[in-house]
Amino acid sequence: MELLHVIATILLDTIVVYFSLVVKRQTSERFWSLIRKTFWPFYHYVKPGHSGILSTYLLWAVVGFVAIFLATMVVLG
Amino acid sequence: MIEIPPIMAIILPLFGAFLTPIIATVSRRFDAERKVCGWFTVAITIAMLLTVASMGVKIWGGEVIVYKLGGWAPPWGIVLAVDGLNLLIALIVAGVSSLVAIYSLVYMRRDTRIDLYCVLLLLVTAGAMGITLTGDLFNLYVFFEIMSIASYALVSFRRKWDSIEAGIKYLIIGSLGTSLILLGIALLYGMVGSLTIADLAQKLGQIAPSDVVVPLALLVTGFGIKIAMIPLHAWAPDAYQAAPSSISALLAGATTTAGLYAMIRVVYMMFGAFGVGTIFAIFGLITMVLGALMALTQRDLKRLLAYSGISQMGYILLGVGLGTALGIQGGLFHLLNNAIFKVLLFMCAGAILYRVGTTNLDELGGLGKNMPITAGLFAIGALAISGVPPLNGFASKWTIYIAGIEAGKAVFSLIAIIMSVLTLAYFLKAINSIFLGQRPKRLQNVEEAPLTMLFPMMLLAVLCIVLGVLPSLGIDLVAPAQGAIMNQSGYIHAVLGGI
Repeated sequence: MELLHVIATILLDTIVVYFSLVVKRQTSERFWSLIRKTFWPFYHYVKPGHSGILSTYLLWAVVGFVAIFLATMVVLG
Repeated sequence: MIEIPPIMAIILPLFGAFLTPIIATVSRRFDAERKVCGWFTVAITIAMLLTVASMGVKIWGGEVIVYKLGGWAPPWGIVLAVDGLNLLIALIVAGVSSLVAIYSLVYMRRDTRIDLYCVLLLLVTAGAMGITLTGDLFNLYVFFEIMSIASYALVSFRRKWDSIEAGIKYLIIGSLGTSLILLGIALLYGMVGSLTIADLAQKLGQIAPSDVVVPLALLVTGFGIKIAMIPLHAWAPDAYQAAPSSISALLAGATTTAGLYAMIRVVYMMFGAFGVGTIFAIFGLITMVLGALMALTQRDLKRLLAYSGISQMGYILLGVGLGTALGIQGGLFHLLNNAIFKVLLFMCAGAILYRVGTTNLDELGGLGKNMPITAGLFAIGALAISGVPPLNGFASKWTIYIAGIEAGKAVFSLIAIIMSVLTLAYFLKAINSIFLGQRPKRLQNVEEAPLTMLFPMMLLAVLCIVLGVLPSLGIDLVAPAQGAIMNQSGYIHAVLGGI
């Protein structure tokens, strides 16, 4: 039962992430709500004032890590 | 005999940072806080530069200076180990810090809380110097954090909306990077039970390469964020644009250099993974191309310089990634040159900002008449970074092109040459927008930058010319560093002493 609960949660989260990032870009902030909560006193400063939004920056960092990881795996693995 | 210069080079800025508030409190009573704090920072950074330079004779003679903290021998104790590579990076860090400290004497004149600025500047310097000289991986992480946290604060120093935004973005992305580094270090410690770089290098040689994929990827990503390698670069343009120009120069010249050093040391000396160099070369090419393309579309000078800096980092990665002696030499030579012309260009941007109040290219024009010296210095920096002979950028880029052809990767060299042309294109656009053309009425009475700001810029411009006319001087400077990268066993033997 617990396992089912975990699987259901992961599935639900994946759908939410997919919708927030791909389907409804304007709600992409929800994906990073943990960061928003942590940095709430300053978060209103972190807007696309002159460049891009933080979520996109973090997404690129994750993409970078995956790319480096795959490249390292190909070379050393 | 105990070698004290390595520890002194770290202690000087670190203790200087803690002394500054006391000095500020005392000098405030005599209404001389600004002058005393500024000159104290200059004195500390110059003393650090001299301390680093004093190690030159021994290290260029082929020695590795090892300092054991508390007399504890490695791998149990922490060591500072200085070879040719450490010395080159330490000289860059100390040199850039000294020039930035001199430049800040006037540039920060209109800002308040200069004591805090000096404390943070010295902490960044201490952190970068610590990264450069330490022989312990966890120690390297601690210094990385010291440097990074002080950098976040400096980016937000002026407390404007955009600087706070950039500072917070930098903090979050930078913290992600340092967390990845810490995770990588933890995994390595779990594998071999040691944190001394030389000991790790020795023990990792006995582990299958496939087992170190995860820690290696974590460390490269963490350091990649610090050097703004694409696609980990997003924080850099915001931070460079929003920070005071002196700090943009420091970030471009010192902290990025320290980050790149950490990457080279970890990958080449610890993992001994020359095969991974191909990854560096490919990411270098991507960084070079995208950085240049993004620079081309910028309308703000500091943002343009930030993307241009990212693009130059691509050249360095390409050179080092080729893995040949000539490639590494070219990459390191370009690292040295990049620190020189990038700091010069950011200082020129600061001079314009100081006199005009904006770096928006659309709002500038015809300033060559008002600021002829700044215009000349900017032109030297711009031509040097574009690789135009007889300036230093040409010498290092040429070495990288030749190394690419010799390594059988002529396509890489061709792309690099095309990107140099693109670099020249966006810098000509910048020169035209700022110094040539019609001068707006409101810029009629703009004056030349103060001499104290011009002095470090002139020094850097002279270096651009000297290292361009006498490239052998630059090659001689980086040759011991290249030798150190390729002599992993010599470093291990010197640090562990045959353990």
